[in-house]
This record gives sequence, structure tokens and C-alpha cells, in this order.
Amino acid sequence: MLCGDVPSAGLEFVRAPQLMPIMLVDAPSTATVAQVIADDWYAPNVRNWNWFYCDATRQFIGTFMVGEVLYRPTGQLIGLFEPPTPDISGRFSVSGLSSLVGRGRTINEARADWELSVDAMIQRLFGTQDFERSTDEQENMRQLSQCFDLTEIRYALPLQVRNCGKLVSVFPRPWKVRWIDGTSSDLSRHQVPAELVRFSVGQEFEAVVEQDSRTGDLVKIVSVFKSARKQVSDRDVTNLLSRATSSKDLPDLDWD
Amino acid sequence: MRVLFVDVGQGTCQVILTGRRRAIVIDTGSHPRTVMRVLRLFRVETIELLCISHNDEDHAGGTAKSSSRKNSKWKKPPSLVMGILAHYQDAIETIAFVPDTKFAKSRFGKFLVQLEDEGKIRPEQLVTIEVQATPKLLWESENKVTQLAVISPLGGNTASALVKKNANASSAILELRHRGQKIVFAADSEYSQWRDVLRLRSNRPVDCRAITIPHHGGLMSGTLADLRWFAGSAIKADIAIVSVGTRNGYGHPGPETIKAFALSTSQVCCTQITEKCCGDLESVRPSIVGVPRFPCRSSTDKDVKRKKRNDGSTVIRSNNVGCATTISAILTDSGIDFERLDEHRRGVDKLVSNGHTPLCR
Repeated sequence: MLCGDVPSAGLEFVRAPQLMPIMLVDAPSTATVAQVIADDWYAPNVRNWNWFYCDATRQFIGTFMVGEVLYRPTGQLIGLFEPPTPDISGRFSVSGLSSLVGRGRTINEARADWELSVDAMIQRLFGTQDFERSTDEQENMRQLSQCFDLTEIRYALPLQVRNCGKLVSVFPRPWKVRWIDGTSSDLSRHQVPAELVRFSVGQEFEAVVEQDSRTGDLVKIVSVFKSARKQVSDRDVTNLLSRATSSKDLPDLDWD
Repeated sequence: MRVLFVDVGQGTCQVILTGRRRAIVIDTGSHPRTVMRVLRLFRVETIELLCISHNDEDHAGGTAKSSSRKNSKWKKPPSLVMGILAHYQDAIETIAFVPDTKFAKSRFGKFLVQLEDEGKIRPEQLVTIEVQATPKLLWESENKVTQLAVISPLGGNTASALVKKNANASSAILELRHRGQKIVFAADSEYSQWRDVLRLRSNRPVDCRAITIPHHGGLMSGTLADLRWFAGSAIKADIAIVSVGTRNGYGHPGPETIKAFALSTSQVCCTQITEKCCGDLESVRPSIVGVPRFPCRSSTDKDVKRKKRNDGSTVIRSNNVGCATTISAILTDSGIDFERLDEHRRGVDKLVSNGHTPLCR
């Protein structure tokens, strides 16, 4: 049955007493229905488009968000809910993603669990390389890549990087930070945490920063804490070198 | 395992993803953050080995020049090695480097002292690279199938480089060995080093699956005869890789170098394309292999610089246009397989059919 409001599509939906089929009054053309679906499917910044229920046991999977990550299916995904029995909780699964099952008493609960499972599996697979994946993991990756644009998801989140910096200028705004890797950043207030605002010019600090995944550009400083490293002379470096291991002491190998 | 010859623009950087969120980094290139993007996007948590072949800006991201500037220590050129050290700190297991003339005064060396002072590294984790009569084992995989060996510089090379104040002449040359095949990371090594290597090998050429052409395809302080000897007799490689930036002020890669390797290898791949190969670089952006598959410096966005000539005309110079971009090789049970080489070959074919004259043809 159809649930929820259908936004301004000029269509009229009615609740059907049975599960299937979908009933339409003044049924629009197939192309119109497809357009409505497509419009909402790709609507930006929309979370959990749950309105387009096919029935109590099926859900159309649109864009959904888990934490900060937006998951946008690349094709049509229909979730199937197997209602709970006294012994077994309900199961929500999607054909084509056989290894992922969401569990819950209701379809919404099970679907939310399924979305968490998708997120957990994708993020875990991102932490592995293709050459080290088991057969099951490779199959999961293959299935997921057919349902979602994994490259987009990989690049969607900013990278968190630890860096060392020094506050070199406060006035005139913006805040200017020189990083230990030699680069510098001009930062507006919304890009720096409150702790940094309290620092005086010349303060050295360690920071966790967010960088754009595609460009590597700094997005914002997440957190900072003061650091004061000792002054080092050339003699200290020479001294350290004298205590370092030499490759002469490493095992020998043949030339081939 | 996967070996990435990272497109960092003008510079050199190789990352070996060893699995379990671990990696080996050989040089860091010169562009801030590219190598960090690679490491973070692949969720690398531990650097098993950070190896700096020599302390030149395009390999260690400016560790060298820092010492020669009289500005405050914060007004220095980019130093990627510092960025990696700052992020990973106690998550780096071994740091290997050549203690050339530039090292002692570099910020790299000083930062190592500071990290030791804070208890984040121990002196035993630092390895100074120098070879005697045989290659040395720098790293080995757990199953002992894959090894990273250092074959140069010899003691004599290091001493000579110190006298000449030429860091290139004591570059570390590394060999990745896997199931009887090799990848040679030649950094900016010079002919003198290779002659010593060949002497110790009883003049048997270094037979490898791939080599990074030294000095970004430049002439390596030698003559054309040296180059012909090197490409023809010293090295026997299937693939020659040139890590080069589209707009570089050095004239890299040298046409004679590319031609010499094009004759002796089956394929020459540059990370970025230069005006020597294509007159209209914006027409092939982001790269001749299409959308890059791995993080790289080559850019999808237009990146051009307009320069006025003396005669009043304006020259438009493109930057960061990919050729093969970041090149990837997979280490399998059967050996070392390079990926997307066909796409690169087709891309070069297309350049030729469009009337361009790429150096590798």
C-alpha cells in the first residue's frame, strides 16, 4: 500500500486494503511515474525518502545518510521485509546485496539497521586493499559497487590529519597559521576552534585538521593543543646520527 | 601488495600498500598533501618504512633547502617528510635516509631529534643508507616472498657526493623483489653509481620488470654515451617510468632519455605529460588515460598560467595534466602486474593520430 504524502506530482494515491498491487486513481503514464521517482530519488539533501512504500513488506531505497556519509544508490533498490515471527526478528534485505540483513520488529527499524550494516561494511572494506580481501569480501565489494558509487562515497568525507603548526598572525584577520610541512593557511573564525583563538602569536601547537579528500585543501582545524619542542642544534642531529642503525649492519642479499 | 608510482607533479613518490592498513613510502614528492591524501584515503595507519632517497626538494619536499635559508624556521619551502612525520609520529616503524651534506642542517634531522626527545621514535628505528659489496635487506614481508633491498650508494659514492656537494650522486637505489621479478626505484641516481653497481654484478645488466628513470628523465650529469650505455647495457626493463611534472623548469624529461628507453623497453610511461609531447595540453586534461583511478596531482580543473613575452604576446602554459598519472602495479602469486598500461598505450596512440608527436613514439 502507499503511505505518506506524495509531493505535488499531480498524482493521487490511495491506500489499498491488501499488500499489492499499487493502485492509482487517474493513473498517470509510466513516464510520469518514473519522473516522479527520479525527481525524488535524486533530490539533494534529502534523508530517508520513505514515502514511496510499495507495501508493508517492501521499501524503495532512496538516498540515505548514516552519520556524515550520504549513500546514494546508483540504480533502483527495493528492500524486502520479512515480518517477525515469535522466534525470529524481522529481516530487511535488498536483492543484489545478499550478505546484508537488517533486523527489527518493524520494517522501519529493520531498514535502519540495514542502513547501518551497509555503512559498517563499506567503511570496513575501505580499510582493506583489494589484494588482501577474502573471496567473501571481494563479492561484497562487487555487490556494493553495483549499488552505490563507492568512489564518491570514499571522497565524500574530509580526511583527518594530524599536523604541527605555529600561529603567525592574528590581526588583521584572518588567522594565519604556518604548518610544519612548510605550507600556510589563512583561516576564518568558523575554521578554527575556540582554543586557537586564545593562543597568542608565536604559539606552536599540534592540531587535528580536516582536509578536502579530493584536493587536500584544508577545510578546518578540528582541535589544537599547545606544544613546545626543544631547540635543536646541528650537533644534536649529528649525535642522533651516530646512534642510528647503519644499513651496513642489515642482512646481506644476493645481487639477483 | 600494491605499488603506486604517485603522480606528484615534478617530484618522486612511491607508496607500497602492504595490507592491514600499513604502507611503505619511498620519497614524498614536492607537492604538499598529495602523498598524505594517498595514505589517508587508503586508510594507512602505520608506515612500515619511510625511505628518503636523498634530501632534495622534489624527493623529500624541501628538507634540503630549509637549511640554506636564513629566514625564520617557519618560512621554509614545503617539507612533506615533515608532514608525514607530524601525522604519523610514533606510527612509523623505520625511517631510512642517506646522511648527505644537507641532512645534518635540515629540519628533517632536527624534527627527528625532537621526536626522539618526546619518546616517539628511538635511534634504532633510524637507518642510514650505505651499501658495501652486496645489497642489503631493508624490509621483508611476513611471508618472506617480497623484499626491499638497497643496492646503492656504496661508501665511495657517499664520500664523493659529500665532496662534490651533490646529493644526487649518493641517492639510494632500491629494488623491490617479488617472486623472481623486480621493480627498481632509481631516484636521482647518477651514472657513477650505476657503473659501481654493474661492476659488483660482474657487468650483468639489472633485469627488472620496471624502473623509475633516474632524475625525472634528465641527463644525470652525464653524456649521451653514458645514457646509451645505461639504457642499453646497464638496465633491462619491461617498463620505464618517469615521474615528471607538466610544467617544470628543468626541461624534464629529456627527449634523448625517453628515446633511449623507448628503444630498450616495451613501454615508457610518464606520470604527467609535457608540452614536448602535446601542444594542446588542455585538450587531454585530466589525463590521456581519462579520469585518474588513484589520487594524483593531475587536475581535472583548468590549471594554466599566462605569461607575457617580450614581444607582447601571451603564452598560456598548462600545469598538472596527466599522462599515465599515478601508475599502479599489483604483486600477485605469479609476479608483478602493471595496471592500465593498455589505456596508456591507447592514449598515446590517440595523441599520434591527432597529429602530436609524443616523445615515447
